[in-house]
Amino acid sequence: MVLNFHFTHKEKTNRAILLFHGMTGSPYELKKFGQFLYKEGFDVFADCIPGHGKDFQNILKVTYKDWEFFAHKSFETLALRYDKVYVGGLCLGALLALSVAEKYPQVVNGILSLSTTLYLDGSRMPWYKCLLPIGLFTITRFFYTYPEGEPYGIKNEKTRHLIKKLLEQNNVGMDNYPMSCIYELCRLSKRVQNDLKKVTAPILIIHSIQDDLTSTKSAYKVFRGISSDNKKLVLLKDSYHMILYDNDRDYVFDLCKTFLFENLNDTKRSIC
Amino acid sequence: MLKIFFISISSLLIFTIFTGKFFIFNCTNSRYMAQCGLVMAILFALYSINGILLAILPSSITYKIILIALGISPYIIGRLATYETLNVATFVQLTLLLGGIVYVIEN
Repeated sequence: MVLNFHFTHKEKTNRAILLFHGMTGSPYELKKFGQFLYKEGFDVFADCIPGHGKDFQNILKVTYKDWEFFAHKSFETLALRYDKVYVGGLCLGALLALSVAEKYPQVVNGILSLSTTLYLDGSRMPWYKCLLPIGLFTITRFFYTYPEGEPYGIKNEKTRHLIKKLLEQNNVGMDNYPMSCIYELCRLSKRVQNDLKKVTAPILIIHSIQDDLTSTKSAYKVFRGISSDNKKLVLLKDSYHMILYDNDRDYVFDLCKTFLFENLNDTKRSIC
Repeated sequence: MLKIFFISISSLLIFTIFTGKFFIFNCTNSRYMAQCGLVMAILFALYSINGILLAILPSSITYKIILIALGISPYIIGRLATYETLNVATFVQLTLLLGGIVYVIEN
């Protein structure tokens, strides 16, 4: 199964959006959202983050610097081709979108930060989460893997069942979270938090109050930490972590569309 | 009593790391891996607490320094370890655990 996707219009368009998927996921989780944005006139790009994709064993070998390098390079490529480039992502992808916005504050035209995962403090975390620092800072992190299970970050039972089947049948994502991956996520989170003030681009932050992986604390931290004048935080009431697939999906799509069109008239900023 | 506890924890850690690395972590069942990893994390926590408690007891400065160093060694090794250097890091960790047992028995 091809996981990456590039939805480009035959007629040249001047606006593109770069999407990043979540931790242990794949661009497959963004496909419906990508198709929606494509229909709205955007060229949409989503590639596998290093360590993800066909051979998930590679996830143990990569660091957060590899993820950032990939995100920055992908953005640079698009910024040279398009007048307006937006970045967006879910979970880890939201951190990468913020990282891009921190590095290129004058170039990014807008940010979609969905279920931003700065802290792992959701209700899905196991009872022994107090041992997390020990797991992260000893060699245990190369051995431990947290098995993914119900509810898979999805409140809607029908969708959850479909995702469960998909995870069993296809290589669209991992069914567990390696501790080394969580370690790199925590390091990236710390790095991104340190530079949040550099973010000046318009931003839409969407987070569910029932997010089972990361609480709304992450969303508030981003909202309060960034320097953007144009910032909006929306809290959802009927979804878990995977907001692009859950009960509030249509609402999220509409919010993103409205946000992107509201910021279309921003002046073009150069990458040079 | 604390010495016996320290030796027991160290021995259990050696056993867990050894069996984990060569048997459990090669299997495909992530639940077994999770349980073994959890046991390892708990043992590391107990090992550190025990090492520091032993250092607090009346003893020579050298003994205190070595016990504290042993207690915090898992975090230093873990911090420095990468996927590429994992085998070396595991070997160093096992050696220190074994060395700790010998040192505590002799002192």
